[in-house]
Amino acid sequence: MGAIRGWAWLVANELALEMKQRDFGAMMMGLAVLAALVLGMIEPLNPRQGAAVGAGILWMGLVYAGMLMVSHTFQREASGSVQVGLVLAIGRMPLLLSKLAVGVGYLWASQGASGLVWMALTGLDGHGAWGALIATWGLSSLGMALIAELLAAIQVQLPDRQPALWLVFMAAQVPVGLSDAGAVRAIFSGANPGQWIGALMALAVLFSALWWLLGDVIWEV
Amino acid sequence: MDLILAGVALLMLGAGYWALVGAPNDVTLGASQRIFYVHMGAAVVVAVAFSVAFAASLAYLWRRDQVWDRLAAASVEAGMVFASMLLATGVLWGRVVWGVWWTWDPRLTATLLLWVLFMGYLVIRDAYPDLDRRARIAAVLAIVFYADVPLDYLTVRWFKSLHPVVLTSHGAEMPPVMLLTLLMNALAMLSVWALWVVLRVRVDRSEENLAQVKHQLRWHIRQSIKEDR
Repeated sequence: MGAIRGWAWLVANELALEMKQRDFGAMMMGLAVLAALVLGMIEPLNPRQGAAVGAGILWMGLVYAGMLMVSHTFQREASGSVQVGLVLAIGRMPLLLSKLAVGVGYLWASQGASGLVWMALTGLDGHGAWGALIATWGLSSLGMALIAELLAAIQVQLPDRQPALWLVFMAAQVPVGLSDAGAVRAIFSGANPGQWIGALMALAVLFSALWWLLGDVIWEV
Repeated sequence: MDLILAGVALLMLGAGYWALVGAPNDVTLGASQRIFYVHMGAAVVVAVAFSVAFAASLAYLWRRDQVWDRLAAASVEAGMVFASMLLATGVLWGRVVWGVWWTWDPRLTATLLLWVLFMGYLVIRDAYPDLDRRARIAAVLAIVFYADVPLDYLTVRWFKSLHPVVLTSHGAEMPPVMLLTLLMNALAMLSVWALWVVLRVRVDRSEENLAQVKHQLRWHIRQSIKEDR
């Protein structure tokens, strides 16, 4: 019971801190609105173009905002050489789980909100496949949060900031981003997103296994 | 070692001869098809090199022996040379056959991604001064990045790709003489990679021994200065 309370406390605090900052969610939303406005002014988007561009915009928002946000949650742990969360949490796993819960929740909400704004601005509809859309955003948020968490945990242990790690961050998320964009495009176009959602599920399972097996190794002291 | 070097050199010469002269020209692509022997040979080495790095990283996390970390690092380092060769020959072949230097085809993109990831592995590795922490983090990265290797292989089967599929469920889609040339080139490149890895591991071990000797020497010098005072 104490462990659950500690974990819930961590999640609530992390979420509160992220919500207070507002910049990453606003970035995704701003990206969706700006892209719709600029592209609409240049040439009105037809549904096919809108589906493709929308999927791409959401992917970009997901990768950049997610990468920054998850990394940001881990930066809070680095205070000198002391991992604050590790001291406060009952163990490493509650800390990692709290970061994961925050990452997935935040990415899911950001993707959903910016996706809905994009749909409203461009007149696209999900062809009634709301369940598939929610599952796509949920699975991609999970896949990305898992891999971003592993890399963010490595990042805070580096003696100096390494630009190479940011490049690796983006590259490692391409398979998830690609499957996410493919599924969203298929849903907006009225096609079957099954293959893409299957790929997202496979990636989520793979990264969950890696996260579970390697999470503790990263935090060893 | 000299005998092994001579053997590898002979193998490379033989493979080079068959790739450039011995094997017949392709019916449709002509002499440009000969790039394929180097390209495919490099692809085999990349798959083996990153698989060895993956296995060595797992072995390191299990046994915590620096030998496995040295093997993983050497394997990636030598593998990156062949990955660069794979991309370069692919670009040349694409210019001849597709008429463009580069296209964002799923296979090409996945291979570039693989190159970026393992280049990142080498750069991040060097950022850690502490040997144990470096080995631990590098092992995690190698295991995570290895997820892209099967993805690279499967892209031409899963997505609409321009890239030809050489190995199908019916075996290799080419005449026996071309297959033999390909196998010879793959074997020659694999032996170069293996030799490189062995030499790199030896150099790494020597560097670590040298660092230890320097550390001990510094300690003795400090002690003798203290005694003199």
